[in-house]
Amino acid sequence: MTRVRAATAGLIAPPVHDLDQDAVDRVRTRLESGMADAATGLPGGAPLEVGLPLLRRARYRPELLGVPDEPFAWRPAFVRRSLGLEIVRACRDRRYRGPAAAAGPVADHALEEWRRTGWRTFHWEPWVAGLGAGARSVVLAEAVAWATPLWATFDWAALPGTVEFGGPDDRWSCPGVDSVHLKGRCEVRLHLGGTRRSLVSVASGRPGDGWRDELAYVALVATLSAPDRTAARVVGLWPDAGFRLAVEVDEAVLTGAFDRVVDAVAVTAGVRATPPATAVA
Amino acid sequence: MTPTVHTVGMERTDAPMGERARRGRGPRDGVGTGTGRGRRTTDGAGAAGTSHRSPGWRPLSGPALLERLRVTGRLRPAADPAFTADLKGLLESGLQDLAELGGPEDGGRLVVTKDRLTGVLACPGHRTVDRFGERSFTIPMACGALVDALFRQIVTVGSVGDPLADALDGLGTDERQSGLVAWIGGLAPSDLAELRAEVDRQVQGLVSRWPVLDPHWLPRTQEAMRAGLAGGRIELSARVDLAIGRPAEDEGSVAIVEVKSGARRPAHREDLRFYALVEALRSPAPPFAVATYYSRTGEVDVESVTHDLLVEAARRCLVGTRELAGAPSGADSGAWCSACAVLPRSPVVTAPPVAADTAVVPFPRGQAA
Repeated sequence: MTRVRAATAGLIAPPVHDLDQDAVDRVRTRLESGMADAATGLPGGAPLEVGLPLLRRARYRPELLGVPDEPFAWRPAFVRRSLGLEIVRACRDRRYRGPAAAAGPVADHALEEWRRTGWRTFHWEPWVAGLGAGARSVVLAEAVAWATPLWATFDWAALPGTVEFGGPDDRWSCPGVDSVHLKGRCEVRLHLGGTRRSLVSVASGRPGDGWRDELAYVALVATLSAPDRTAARVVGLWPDAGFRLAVEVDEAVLTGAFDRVVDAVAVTAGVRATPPATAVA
Repeated sequence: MTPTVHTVGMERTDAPMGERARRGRGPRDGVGTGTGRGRRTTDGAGAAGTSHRSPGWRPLSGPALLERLRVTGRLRPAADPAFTADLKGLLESGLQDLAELGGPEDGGRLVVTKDRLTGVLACPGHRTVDRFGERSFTIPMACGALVDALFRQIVTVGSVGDPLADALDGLGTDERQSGLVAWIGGLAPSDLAELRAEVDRQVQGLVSRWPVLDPHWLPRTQEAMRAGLAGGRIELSARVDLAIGRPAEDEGSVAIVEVKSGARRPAHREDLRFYALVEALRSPAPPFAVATYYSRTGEVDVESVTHDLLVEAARRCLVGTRELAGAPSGADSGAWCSACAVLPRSPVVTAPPVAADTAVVPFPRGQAA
């Protein structure tokens, strides 16, 4: 079986595990309890937003948890995912022969819609509209490079039912713990029928040793934010390294993700509660 | 099964994308396939580092250029998990004794790139970069970065307005290039004019010669490729100017192109082989071809990817990685220096390496500028 067929078959396969509402409730209850303890050391201020970047920092580079985020400024890397997903959607709709052909028209259409309605579907429209030809070509090229491996991984025509590309991030706030929010993001959601979904998550670089928990985290937030549409599996793609890995979701998998979240919050609380070291002359 | 074709001559062809090209195309999405006696196909020059074009030679363009990339004269390399495992085993066994690696800036792992390898493997006489591949800015380097940006623009949107303005605009989106952009902005008018003229000239050649790439072949620029070794403590990292072809399934289907704005150098071929190695380690099959396109002259140097090539690339990578890690490699100093490799005798170092790691080396035949 070719890699594309195998990837496609793995995505559309029936759920391997059952995940009933009771199991989801148990995970939620444990998470609420564990989070309350872990978050007690967090300093006041803006809530801590937990996502894959924070989970990775807490595991691999905890010293960076105390470094304030850089002020946001648009750059091509922030456009490539949303534009890339729209490119894949356009290719799946058979409107273009490949990502390279779709990028320009898809971006142009987004800008036209923004100019016509004032509505920013992707948020980057005003920034891209103000770019010169060279910078705009970089934006398109980055999106093509991002979209191409995703497009080439699956036989999109063979995917049954509804395929969602991107969309709003999954979010969940822990009741009683205002200082922590969970945010999950996946690139593709495939409805398998019933209440279960397959999710696809795309990451750069190479999978670390915690990849399983990271994919499970995507499933956890998706499940908590929409308990009536639980994740059956999460397929992770690391195109740079040529990896495709998957996690079949059950209660144990979600619990593993929950443990990773609680650990990350506790580590973050510890780092942020520690005053920065003072240089000694 | 890939159909058999007979092609790949050294001669120039202006034939449109016709019968030869169709025969050379893979069954679905590949950008090239072929069989016959394998060889390196070099258009416009001889051996690495040399340039002796015949008087009537003209650069390939359009379909002929594409065909040179697509049809290498060899069977596409088949997916061979056993060979890939051996290749990885060669690297792993040679690196297993390395302890803690890499600095915090690399996330605690040693990141191995083509520039770092070239730098660390160069003999003292040919060393122009520091141990980790960083260089100081020069006009040729600026020209290379600008041409790279414009090549990406040409592949992506098919046109260029004001080359220098577009290239600076493109580079300006990458904060890692901010130093170079500022350096270019501070050039004296005469230097800037020289840079502009060269960029204009090279881009004119790119626009006129490079064909529009069929979107079905999935052309993508600046594709990142990574392969982990030693349990992730070492990462081979590459970013290629252009990759064409659907990711490999049961045989090589990808061609990799690197654009160079300067003179031919032996190290360029080592760069390509490093790309082939990383792609072979991350994909079911290696690329079927790696090529350097010289935008200054229009020369194209295409190399079929074979097991021998990959093994040689792995050996070089192994030695270089150990050197980067500060571990004994067992190789003589400069034994893997790509510049020395084409010389009839060892170079004579007429000045000791200075702080900037530059040295004056007479090239016996003057072929490696």
